[in-house]
Amino acid sequence: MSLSLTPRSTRSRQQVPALELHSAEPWPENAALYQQLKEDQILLSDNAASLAVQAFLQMCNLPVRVVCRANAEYMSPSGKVPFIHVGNQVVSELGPIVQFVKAKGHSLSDGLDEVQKAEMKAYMELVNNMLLTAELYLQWCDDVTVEEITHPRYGSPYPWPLNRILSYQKQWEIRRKMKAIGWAGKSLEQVLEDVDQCCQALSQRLGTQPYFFNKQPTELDALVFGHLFTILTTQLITDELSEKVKNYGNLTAFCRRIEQQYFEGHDKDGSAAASARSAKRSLLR
Amino acid sequence: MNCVTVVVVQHVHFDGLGRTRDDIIMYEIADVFKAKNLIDVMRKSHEAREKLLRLGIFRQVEVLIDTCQGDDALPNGLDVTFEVTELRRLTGSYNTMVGNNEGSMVLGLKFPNLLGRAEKVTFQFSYGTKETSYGLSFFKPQPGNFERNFSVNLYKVTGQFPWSSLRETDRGISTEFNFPIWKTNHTLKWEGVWRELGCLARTASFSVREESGHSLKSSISHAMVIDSRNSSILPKRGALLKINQELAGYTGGDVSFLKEDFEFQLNKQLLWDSVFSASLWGGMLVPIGDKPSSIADRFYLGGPTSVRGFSMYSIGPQSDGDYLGGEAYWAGGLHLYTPLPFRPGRGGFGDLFRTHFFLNAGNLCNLNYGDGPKAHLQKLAEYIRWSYGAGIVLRLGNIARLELNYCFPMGVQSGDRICDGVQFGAGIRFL
Repeated sequence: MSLSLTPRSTRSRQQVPALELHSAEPWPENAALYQQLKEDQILLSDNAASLAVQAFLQMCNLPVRVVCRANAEYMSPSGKVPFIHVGNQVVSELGPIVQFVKAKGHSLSDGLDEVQKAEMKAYMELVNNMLLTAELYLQWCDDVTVEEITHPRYGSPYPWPLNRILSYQKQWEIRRKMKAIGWAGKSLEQVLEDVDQCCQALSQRLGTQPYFFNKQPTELDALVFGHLFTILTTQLITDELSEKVKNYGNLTAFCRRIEQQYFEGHDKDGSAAASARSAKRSLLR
Repeated sequence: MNCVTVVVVQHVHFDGLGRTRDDIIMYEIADVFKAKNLIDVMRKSHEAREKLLRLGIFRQVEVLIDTCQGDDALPNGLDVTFEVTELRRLTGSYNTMVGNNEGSMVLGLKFPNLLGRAEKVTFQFSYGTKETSYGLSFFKPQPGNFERNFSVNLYKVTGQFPWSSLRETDRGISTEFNFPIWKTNHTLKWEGVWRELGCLARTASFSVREESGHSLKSSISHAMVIDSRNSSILPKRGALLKINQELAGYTGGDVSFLKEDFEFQLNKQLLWDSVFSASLWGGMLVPIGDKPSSIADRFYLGGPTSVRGFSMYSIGPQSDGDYLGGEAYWAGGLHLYTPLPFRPGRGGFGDLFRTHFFLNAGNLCNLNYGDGPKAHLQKLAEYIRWSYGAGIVLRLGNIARLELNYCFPMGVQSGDRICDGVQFGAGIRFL
C-alpha cells in the first residue's frame, strides 16, 4: 500500500493560489493608476491616497501612468481611489496594492526585521486613523469647507440635479461613518489638535534620518509623503491644517526630499508636483 | 313593437353612481340616444356598456331596456337603465414572485377613479432577496376620449444583466401623453432618469468596469403604433408596425443621442389552419457630441425571444465574455405556425399549442458614423448570424407565450455564445 502525492503541476487549476498565478507575469508597460479628475474634482483625501500609491510605485521603480476619470470612484472594486489596472488585475487602495506588488517580487520592507515591520504597520495605522480621518472630517463635516469646496468639486462632472444628489449622498455616508467612530462630536479645534499630535509622533520617529527606517524608503514613507505633501500644497478655506504640519521642520524637509528624488525631473503628467500644484492652483479663490 | 319599428330612446338612467362625475358618463352613452330601432338600441347599449367597462372604474355594468312609463311617455318610447357597481376607492394586491435565483414580494395599491373622472393612481412596491423596486403612477384620460390620456410615473427599477456582468439601477420620472390619429396610436414622452451602473461580479471585464458610475438621461421620445392584428400573441392575420424615436440631451442630463428603432410584423392565414408570419426589427443609436454611447442605451441581440439558437443577448461586440451591445442592429424572422400534429385536445386545451417552424437572422454591430450609408449597409450585411429550427409554442392567455424549440445556429462569429439544441423561451415580445 502506498500513498502517492500528486505533483503540483498536475493539480487542477483552481487549487493553485491566485497570487502565485499572477506573480508569473512581469510588470507590464501599460500599467495604469486611476483617480478622479485632477483639476476640478479630486478632493484632499483622495489626492493624498493617490499620491501615496504613486510615490510607493516610484520607490519600487515600477512605471505607471495616471489616468483621470470622473467615475474612478465607482470603477474601483472597493469604492475607494486610487486603483491600479495591471494586466488583467484591478487592485485598489495602498494596502492591497503593496501585497499585490509583493507577490510580483518587489518589496520595500523586506529588509526590516519583525519588530520594525510591526512598528511600520502601527505608524501606518496611525496615519490612516488620524490624518486620513481628520482630512475626511475637514472635507465633509466642516460646514464652510463643505459648502465652498467639497460640494462644488465633488459634483462638478455631473449635471444638475445629479451633482447635488451625489454630494449629499456621499456627505451622509461619511457623516454616518464619523458618528460610528465617535468623531461626529468633535470640534474643528479638537481635530486639528489630533493632527498636531499625529505629526508630533511622526516627527519624533523620523528624527534626523532621511527615511523612517533610515536608509531605504518603505511604504510608510510613501503613505506619510502622500498625506503631508497634499496637506501642505492644497489650499483650503484657512491654512490651519497646513500650519500644523509646517510646525515640524523635519517633516517638511522629508516631503521636499521625496518630491525631489522621486517626482521632479519626470515630465510625465503623473508627477506628484504637477498634480499637487495643479490642485493648489485650482483651489485658489 | 318589433325589431324594425322606429323607436325613440327617451331616458337613460344610471343606478349606482357614487363618486363618478356625470360628464364622463354622458360621453360614453351619447350614442344610445341615436338608436332608431330595437336592434339598434340593443347594439348601441352593448357598445356603451363596453365603453363604460374600459374606463376601468366599474366592477360591472348591467343594461336594462324597457318601455317608457310615466306622463311624457311616447307610444314607441324606451328607457334604458345602466346598473353599475363602482370599484372600491382602494384596492390592494399582494403577490410573491419567483425569478432567476431570487424571490420577491410585490405589493400593489390602486386608487381607481380617484376624482370621479376615471383618474387612476397606482403604487407598486417589490421587495426581493436581491433588489427593491417601486413605482408610482398617475393616469388621467380625457373625458369622452379615453384613448387620449396622459400619465406621470415615478419609479426606481433595478436590473441585473449577467450577459454583460452589469447591474443597473434607474430612478426616474416620466410623463407620457397618448393620443390616436386615425388608425395609428401615438405616444409622446419626456423621461428623466438617474442611472447607476455597476459591475455584477469582480470578474467583470474592464470595458464594463469603465462604464460604472452615474449618469443622467433626459430625453423626449415619440412612438407610433399601427396594429391591425387580431391578437398580440399568436395572431392569425393582420400587421403591426411600431416606430420609436428618442432624442436625449437637449433637455438636460449628460447623455446625448438620437435613437431610432422599428418593429414590423405581418401575418397571413394559410390552408388548414396554419399561419405564416414574417417579422423585421431594426434600430440605430447615434451619439451626439464626442462622448461615446453608454452600455445602457445600446441594442442587444440573441436569445429565445430574439435570434433563436444563441444565448440571451450574446451576439456582437464583447470583451472577455461580457457583451457590450451595439449601436445598430437588424433582425428578421420567418415563421410557420401549424396546429399540433394529429390535433390532440382539439377545441380545448390543444388549441393553446401550436407547432412552429422558424428561420431567424440578424446582425449587431457598431457603425462608424463618418462613413456613408453604403458603408453602413455593407457592415450590417457582413457576418450575418442566422438560425433555423422547429418547436412548440404555448399561448398564455392574451399576454405571454412559452416556446420550446430545437435550434440550429449558423453564421456564428467568434465571441458569440450559442444555445444549439433545445432552447426554452418565455416572454411577450418574440422575433
